[in-house]
Amino acid sequence: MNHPYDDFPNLFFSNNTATATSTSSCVEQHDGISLDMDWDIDFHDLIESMMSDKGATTESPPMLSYHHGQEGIFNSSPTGFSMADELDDDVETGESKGLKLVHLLVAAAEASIGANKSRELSRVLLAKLKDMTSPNDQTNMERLAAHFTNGLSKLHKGANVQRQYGPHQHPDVHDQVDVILAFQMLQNMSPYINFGYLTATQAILEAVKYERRIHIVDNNITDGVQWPSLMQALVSKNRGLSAQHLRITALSRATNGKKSVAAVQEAGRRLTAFAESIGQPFSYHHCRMDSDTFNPSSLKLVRGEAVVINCMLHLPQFSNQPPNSIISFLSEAKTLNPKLVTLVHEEVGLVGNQGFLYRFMDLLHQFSAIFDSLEAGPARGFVERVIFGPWILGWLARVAISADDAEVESVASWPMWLATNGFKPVEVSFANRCQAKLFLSLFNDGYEVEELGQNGLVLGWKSRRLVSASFWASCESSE
Amino acid sequence: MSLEETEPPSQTLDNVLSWFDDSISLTPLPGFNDSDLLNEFDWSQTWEWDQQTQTQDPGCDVLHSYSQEDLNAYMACEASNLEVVTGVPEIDSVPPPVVQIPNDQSKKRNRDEPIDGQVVKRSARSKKKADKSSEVSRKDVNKEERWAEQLLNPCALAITARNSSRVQHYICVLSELASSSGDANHRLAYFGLSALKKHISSSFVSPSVTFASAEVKMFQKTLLKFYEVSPWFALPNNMANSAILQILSQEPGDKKDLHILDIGVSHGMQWPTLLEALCCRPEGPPLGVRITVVSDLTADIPFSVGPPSYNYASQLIGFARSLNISLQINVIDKSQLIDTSPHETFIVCAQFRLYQLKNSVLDERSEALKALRSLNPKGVVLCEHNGEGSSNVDFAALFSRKLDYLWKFLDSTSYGFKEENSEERKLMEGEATKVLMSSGDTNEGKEIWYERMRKAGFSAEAFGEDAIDGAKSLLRKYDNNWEIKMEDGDTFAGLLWKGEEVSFCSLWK
Repeated sequence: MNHPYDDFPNLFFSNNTATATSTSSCVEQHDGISLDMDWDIDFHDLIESMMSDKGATTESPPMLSYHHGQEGIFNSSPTGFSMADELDDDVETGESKGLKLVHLLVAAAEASIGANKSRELSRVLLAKLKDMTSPNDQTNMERLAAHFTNGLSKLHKGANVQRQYGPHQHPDVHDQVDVILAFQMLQNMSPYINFGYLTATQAILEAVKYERRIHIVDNNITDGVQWPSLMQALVSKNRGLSAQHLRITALSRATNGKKSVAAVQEAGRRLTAFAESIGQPFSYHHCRMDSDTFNPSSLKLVRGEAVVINCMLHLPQFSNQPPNSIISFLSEAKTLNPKLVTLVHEEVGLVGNQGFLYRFMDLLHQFSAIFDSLEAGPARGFVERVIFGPWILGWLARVAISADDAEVESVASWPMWLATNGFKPVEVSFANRCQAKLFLSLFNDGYEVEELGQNGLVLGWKSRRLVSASFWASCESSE
Repeated sequence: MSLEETEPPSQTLDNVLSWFDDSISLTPLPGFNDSDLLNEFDWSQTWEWDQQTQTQDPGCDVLHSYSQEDLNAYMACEASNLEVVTGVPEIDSVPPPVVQIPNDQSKKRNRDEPIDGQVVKRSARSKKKADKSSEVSRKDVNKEERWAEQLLNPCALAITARNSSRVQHYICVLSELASSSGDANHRLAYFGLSALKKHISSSFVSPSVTFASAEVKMFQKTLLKFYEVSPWFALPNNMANSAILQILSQEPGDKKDLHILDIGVSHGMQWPTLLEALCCRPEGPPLGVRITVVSDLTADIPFSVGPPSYNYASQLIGFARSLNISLQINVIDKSQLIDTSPHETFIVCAQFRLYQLKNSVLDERSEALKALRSLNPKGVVLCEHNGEGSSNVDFAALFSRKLDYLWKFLDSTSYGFKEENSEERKLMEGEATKVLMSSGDTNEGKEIWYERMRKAGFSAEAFGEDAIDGAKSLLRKYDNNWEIKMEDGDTFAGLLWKGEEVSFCSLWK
């Protein structure tokens, strides 16, 4: 049988120990992008490091070493006023286009969604940016800037539509087939998506090792691509009589419309077919959330089954998942006494009281790192257009909302929320760590795995954290 | 539309230019006697005299004055009535000067005007009223569209806060948007950015176009063009001249010489009109007219220093001679003594210069005014920029006020100059930009100046109807974003651009 999951790397239970020990050295090193840091240094830092991200790519402007040099000077005297010299240098040599674009984007974001909004200034800045960039440009930074410009322009135009975020309201939503195709391409170009799937799946396998019946409640199943590998692992482990039964309940939110319902059902059909093809006992359910509140009584539960809550928050935001909806889901899910809660989320500073500008810079930094990390290829432009365009727009809308209303994104960090709301950490296994590292070795140099406490793993790209996975269980659940 | 459409403005300009061309080629001069030139020097003024006689309907005037509840206005009206009774010649009783001057062009204009003029004027007036009602919202709109300041001001703030990465950020963004040839915002960004760079780094050399570095011919051409397209100086000059005539008319009958102390920026542009007007008085011009020009070559404020080789004295004297006025021009340094004589009517005309004096430790501005008071002038005309005044502000606040000033200048020139990048426009704007580099506080505000004048022993004097009407009709020649606002019983004439204060003229005794 030919199905889309064929090329998913089957890496479970790797015995490779050689790579396992080498990672933990860099764990705490990057806490330095600290939240309490002086704003101006932060800002500079972000821009500089963003530009240095570009330094590793072949497309980078040849000025990078120069900027690095400057950074050193600057950091050594952050309180000094040595600006004049730097200024003259800038005037003489001209700044690289990428750096200019970053400055312009920050200014445009400030003018269109910051505290000091100015429609006219933002219009002028966006017009300038539009002149300077195109999604077909040469460098990563230029293309990324084009997507950000596009996103900001849309926010600028539809200032009234800001309240309902998510790209699905916008006219340039791409064809669903294109989206699925591009999403699969993205998984081949970057470990970004699969890192979460892989570590979560591994943790689930370990948690339910001795369970006869497994019930996974999936917060955001998208196309279901996470589960075939789990099924294969289950099948390879227990053949015959000892076969474990797998049940997946996929949530869909009414706020996301019919498309999301259809996608959930389509994922169910494919998963059922796949389970049948490999002989995995499997059943699939669809649970609709009518509002943003999750009601556990709407789930079909079977006595004695091990409940696993799977929460993927790092996927390109095609569906609308406001934080209060996730909070509702997690706190109600706790009553199911889950054996394991997997949480995978993006490491973007959309948290706390960092201020709008910090969030925007962080977002830019995040996407710049992702762009930098993506493997080149003929499909890249397509993926960028179909996935990243709407993805960036969705994020910008969220940043804009959080700029307007601090309450909306008030969850300081999901792991912290879980830790303080009756969940206890579940340790990451040695095997899981090793497997993650091995998985990364399939991609570009530059990816790294960090441990985050005892129950988390972080995927990083050249010292920028991209996405983290952490594992939890309800405090009441017995081990 | 405006009246100037009855005659192509370019033609007028050409004529005036030829006047200059001729005069430049003239050696020390005499024999300069071309009545055409006299007229052309500033035909708008001639025209404006016309208008005055037309609008000066006495009955209507009285009605108008009495309908005002403002006591001050009433007082002013009383004063002018008094003059009529004592028989001091009123300016508006003077027959239109055009009639006296044999000149083809002005005749032609005279023929055209009465019909067109009346119609145009009324429509212009009703339009202004409508504009005023929406003044508040208009200011907000103004602010919103002024994006350059939304980058320049935070940058200045970051400089005072010594936040160097923030400064770099703004400088980078501004460099991308700045352009010396775009709209007013792009220009302001360009000039503001240069000024900020200069402030940060003394080694930064900003490319500058200034009066002092201009060629004499270009300089003259530029001044003429600017007076034609903007009332920025034309209106204050006009009001000053009217005020001078007003003071003369209030002086006792025996003929005295007129002595004007010129602390201004007009580079001679103001005087031909005055000389002409003096001739048109029923009693004729004073026996002698003396203009003492206070020059200050070290001044860093805009518009005050012309090209070194520029000398308008001889031309102006020749022009006066043609009107049978004996004119004497002395140029003195600011530190030199001013000699006055009891046989003269001594009038001080201070325009856009006194603000260059420091007001930090010792208030030089007050000192200067006291010094002027000690000369016992019969009148003082004070024109200054007007803004939201406050003292002792830091770099960022001062810079912001200067930007505000420069914005109004650039915005109004972008309406005035039809060509995007004419040499004249570049020169005027380049010179105006000096304000950002200068140390003085531009927009101190009327209140502070009034306070100083009173402390120095002066008291405010109302402008006469002639001055006000003259100014109003002059303003109609320009873009209708310009307005004039009379306040405080007509002692204060404010010039407004898009509803915001630009400058004020005041008269003191």
